[in-house]
Amino acid sequence: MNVFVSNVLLAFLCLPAVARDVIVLKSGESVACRLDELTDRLVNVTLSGGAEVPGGSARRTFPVDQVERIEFAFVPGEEEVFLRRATASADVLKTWWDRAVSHLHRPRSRAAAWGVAYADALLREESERGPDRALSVYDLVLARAWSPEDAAAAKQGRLRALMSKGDLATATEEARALARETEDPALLLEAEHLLAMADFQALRELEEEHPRWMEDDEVRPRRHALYHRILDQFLKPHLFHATHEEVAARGLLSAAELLLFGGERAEAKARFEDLLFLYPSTGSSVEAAKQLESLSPNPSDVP
Amino acid sequence: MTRVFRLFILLWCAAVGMMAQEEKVSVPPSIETEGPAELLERGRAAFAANDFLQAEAALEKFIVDYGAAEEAKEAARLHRPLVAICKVGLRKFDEALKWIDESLLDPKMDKSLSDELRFWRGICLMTGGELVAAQRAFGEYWAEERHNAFKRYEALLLFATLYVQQDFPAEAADFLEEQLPQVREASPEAAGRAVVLELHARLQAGQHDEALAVVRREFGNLGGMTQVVSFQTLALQLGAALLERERYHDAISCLQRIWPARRLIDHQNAKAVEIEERIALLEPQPNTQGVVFQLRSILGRVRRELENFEKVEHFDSALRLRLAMAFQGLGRYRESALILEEMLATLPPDPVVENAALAQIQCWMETKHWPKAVAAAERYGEVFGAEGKSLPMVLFLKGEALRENEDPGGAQLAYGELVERFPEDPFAAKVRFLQGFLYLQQDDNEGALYQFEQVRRRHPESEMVEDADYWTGMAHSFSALHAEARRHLEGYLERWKTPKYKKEATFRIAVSTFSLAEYPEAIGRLAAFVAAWPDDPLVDEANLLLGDALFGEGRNDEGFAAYGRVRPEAGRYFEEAWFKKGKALRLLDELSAMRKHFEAFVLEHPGSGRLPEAVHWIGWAHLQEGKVERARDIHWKTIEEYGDDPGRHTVVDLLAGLPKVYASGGAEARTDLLTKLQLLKSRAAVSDRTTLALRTGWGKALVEGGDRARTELLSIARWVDPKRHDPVVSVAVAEAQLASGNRFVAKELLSEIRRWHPRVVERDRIYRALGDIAVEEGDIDRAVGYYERFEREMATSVHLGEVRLKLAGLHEGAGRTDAAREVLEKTLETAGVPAAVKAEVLLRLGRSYAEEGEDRKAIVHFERLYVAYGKFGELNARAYWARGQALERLQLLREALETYEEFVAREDLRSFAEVEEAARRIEVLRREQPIESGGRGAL
Repeated sequence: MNVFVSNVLLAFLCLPAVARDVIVLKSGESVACRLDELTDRLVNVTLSGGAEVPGGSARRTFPVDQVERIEFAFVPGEEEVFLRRATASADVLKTWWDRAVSHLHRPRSRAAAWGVAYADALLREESERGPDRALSVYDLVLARAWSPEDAAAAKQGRLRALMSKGDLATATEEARALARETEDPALLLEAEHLLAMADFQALRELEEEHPRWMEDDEVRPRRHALYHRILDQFLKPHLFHATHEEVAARGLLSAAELLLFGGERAEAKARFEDLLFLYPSTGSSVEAAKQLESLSPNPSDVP
Repeated sequence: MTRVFRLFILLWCAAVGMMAQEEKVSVPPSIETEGPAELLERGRAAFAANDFLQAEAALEKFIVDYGAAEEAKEAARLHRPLVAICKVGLRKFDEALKWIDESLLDPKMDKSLSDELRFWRGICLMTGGELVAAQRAFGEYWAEERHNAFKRYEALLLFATLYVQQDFPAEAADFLEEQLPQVREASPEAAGRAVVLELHARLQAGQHDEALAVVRREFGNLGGMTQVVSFQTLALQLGAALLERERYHDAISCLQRIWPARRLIDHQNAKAVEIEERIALLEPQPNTQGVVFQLRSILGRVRRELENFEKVEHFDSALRLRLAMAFQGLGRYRESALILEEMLATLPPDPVVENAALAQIQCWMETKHWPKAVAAAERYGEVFGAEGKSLPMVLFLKGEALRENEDPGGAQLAYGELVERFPEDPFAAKVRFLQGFLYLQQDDNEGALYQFEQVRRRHPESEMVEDADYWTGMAHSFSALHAEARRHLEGYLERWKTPKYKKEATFRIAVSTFSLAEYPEAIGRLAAFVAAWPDDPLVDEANLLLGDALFGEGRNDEGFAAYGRVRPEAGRYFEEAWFKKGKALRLLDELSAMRKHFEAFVLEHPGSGRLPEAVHWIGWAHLQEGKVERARDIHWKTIEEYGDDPGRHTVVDLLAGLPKVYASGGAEARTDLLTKLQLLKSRAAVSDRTTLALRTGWGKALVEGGDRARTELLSIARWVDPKRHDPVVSVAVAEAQLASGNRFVAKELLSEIRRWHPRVVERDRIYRALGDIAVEEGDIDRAVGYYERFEREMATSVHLGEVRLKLAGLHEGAGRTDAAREVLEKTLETAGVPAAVKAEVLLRLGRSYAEEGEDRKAIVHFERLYVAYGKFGELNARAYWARGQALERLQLLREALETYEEFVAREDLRSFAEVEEAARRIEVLRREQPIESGGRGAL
């Protein structure tokens, strides 16, 4: 063992727990210190207190190739924001992201977490340029993040950003690949739902553009193909991912609404009923109940 | 003992290692001669080595032979429990029970030994069939919290199992549900097994609601469950039971919570690996034998489940099929079809999948999603091919779907494939009949007759023979072969005892008789039909024909009466009867009565499409009476009264008919008509009756013609509402805009007209104009699109040839020579295309070939032009010249000279410039080129 390192270790093993950076060396030893400077070649630190520097401090330099990782301590104020980063504003998070970004590739750095949190906030706040900016942050994290978990979070964020941008085709393709990798279909379901919603809008526009589409031999097949495709798409979560209850119920609700739009009142009613029966505790069930009530014949109309 | 119970015991015993003593170890004969000390020593050593056989023999002999002796009593007390354990280990449960009970009488017995024996006592009682006592033993063991924790959970499960064994599954399930919260936290693995047992007990008890609640409740815990396969298999059973009871929603809810087989296997494999890793980690550590023992038990259970499950066939297909059936039961055919579609895409073919493939087609048929039904049928053919036992039905369904999807050609092919491949199949007869029926729908009566005959000849036993028989008569009727139709249908009525088309055949025989102008017989048959089926919808048509026949026989009063019996609800027959009655009055010269008859029609049926016709006849009657003004007035009155209503489209017909009403007055009448139209238009505009103003402006444009018409149409453009107004008016206005250079306005208007009236008869003009506009805008693809749509939809339009010429021009311009030629060739073969267009087509085709160096083909087209279409001088001149040039290029100089000579000899072509050129070529050819004979032969 390197004598220097051994001494340092001995000196600091018994130090009280304070917010310190820790350098873990490839030899297995670790050093608690304050990180002064970090480049891709050298790490300059200040060692303070302890046997080696009683009552004082000492500056030391480690070549980067001896360092396994650095466990970055929180700087004042950082920990508090980090703990509530899922709800913090993009402005606040940007400051921390900007400070951390240079450490993005370094093992154990929190830079990726800051990046993902910042990009998430950009999407959450729904500003005009938010999705574009978020996308670039996610891409940067994806390209340089050291941990697979951060990369996975960035990948999911990237998909959400693509969806916000309206690039549903790319989002769906990537979501499909992600679902294959992770066996988690959540994002794919989300992307496909958005695609179906976009198609539903296209259907509305088509019918508006061709109010007598049923008489139009060229438009009618197009309309039918679109209508059936959307309906099938809306139903898929309900049929193949029913245990994702909210998503399945949302799809079923949309299918019923589409059927209603298509004038298939009885079919729509049946789907609202299915929703209430199969997914009674979901958010969509409230809307389904309302719709069902409006579809039920008025008692006073019944002879 | 039930199967489940036996299985449980076996699994449990195996798990705790009791089966380890299977191998027979012979007891050494020396035992019989050994003394107490040796017996004790041998017994203890064997027990320590888990050699229960020797231990039992030695220790039992010691206790039996020496245990009563005072000095051996203590040793006997200490070793009695060991004998009990040995007997348990050797599965001698009946013997073990006695030893356990004796051991438990000892108050000084070691606690852990007592704990062990109390548990085994339950097992011994259970295997001995003393179920109540066994259950009591396990109950006591579970109730005492100081007992071994691991065995307590086993006791709990055995306690519940014994409820099931005693046919109290509901009690077992309730007990487990009650105890589960205690177990779940302390032993998730045991809790998982308790849940499986609870679900099994609920199913046994027929408590489907409670069982479904278990499936729903436990879905979130599946990941931690050791026996997840058993649980999911039971859930599948529950789903099937709910399905059988037509509780479709519940079945869906249950089945949706079952994992696919792959996931179950992956999950269990991962579980096994995880347990193995834990064992590997713990085994080397001290004091972990208990945990390791438990883990090994769990691992055994997981592996056995996996082994058993991997032998299960069709798990996924059974699951999906049931889910699809549940949706089908609810009438949710789309959902069912989608599940089956996914199933077919992911599962290898098997008999279940094949049934599913058929069900999928039927579901798509139910949703009227014909393209999907066709695709599913095709997929069935691809996957199961000739091996598919339902292939004939699939082909039949495919044909039906194609027919419904308005693809009669495709349907014929599918039907044809069926009868060719499965001529003896029960579907074959039906399909042959449908083929015939499709031919009828396509006006191919000969084709229909052939197929109907095939039904009779090839499937004489089929019930479709009668249908084919009747429709054969109908096919004759549709071909206007009335004698054949009548003869055949009379035969039909004789051939069948209770003919199912009796009414229809009787009616058609009467109609055929009428069509043969055999009125006396027709009157009898029609009257008989009316009397036999007085309320049938066909009666109105019968009365109409009856009226015609009676008039034909001069029985006018009866004829009027017959017309009068046609009921208003008969729609067009009623109107037809009205107009026939009017015609009869006219022919009888009862003009005043006729006029009043039509005046009544106008009054009572102003919304009728035949209103202008009625007004025409009123006017005609006035004219016959010399009352020209009154004839005109009735037109103006009707136009003014109904002209502002956009829904009364026939008003434009009245306006279009006005020039005829004013035809007799010459130029003065024309001026008068224009003045009246202008006045009405102005009055309408001032009074904000814009529809009337628009229509009268259009009527005025019709009379004006030429540039004035265009000016007039532009003046009314502001009132056009393409959604509400008559397309014939709107299109005229759009064309005027286009002719005036207002391309954008014209395009907008035409697009809007098409949008609101996609089937309007003027769409030939719309597509042509939109195509022309696209050409002007340089959007060739769009122009081609419009022209091609024109071709598809307006094949009978007089403008077809003209549009095809434009289309061919676009193809040529884009370098698509073959496409251009195809369009032109097609035009030559199309009936109804004007001769001028055909001549132009020939010229274009000739030039097209000439430009490509195919002069031999070119000369044929040029020649055909001036031979067949000689009256089109300019085209003829160009054709002669082009042919001569082509012949020269082919070095057929003699033929070229002949062509030029023929050309210049034609008097009617002298004025064309090409003649001079031809004359010069004649000179050259005669002077410079010695003509050899035999040139024509080369052609």
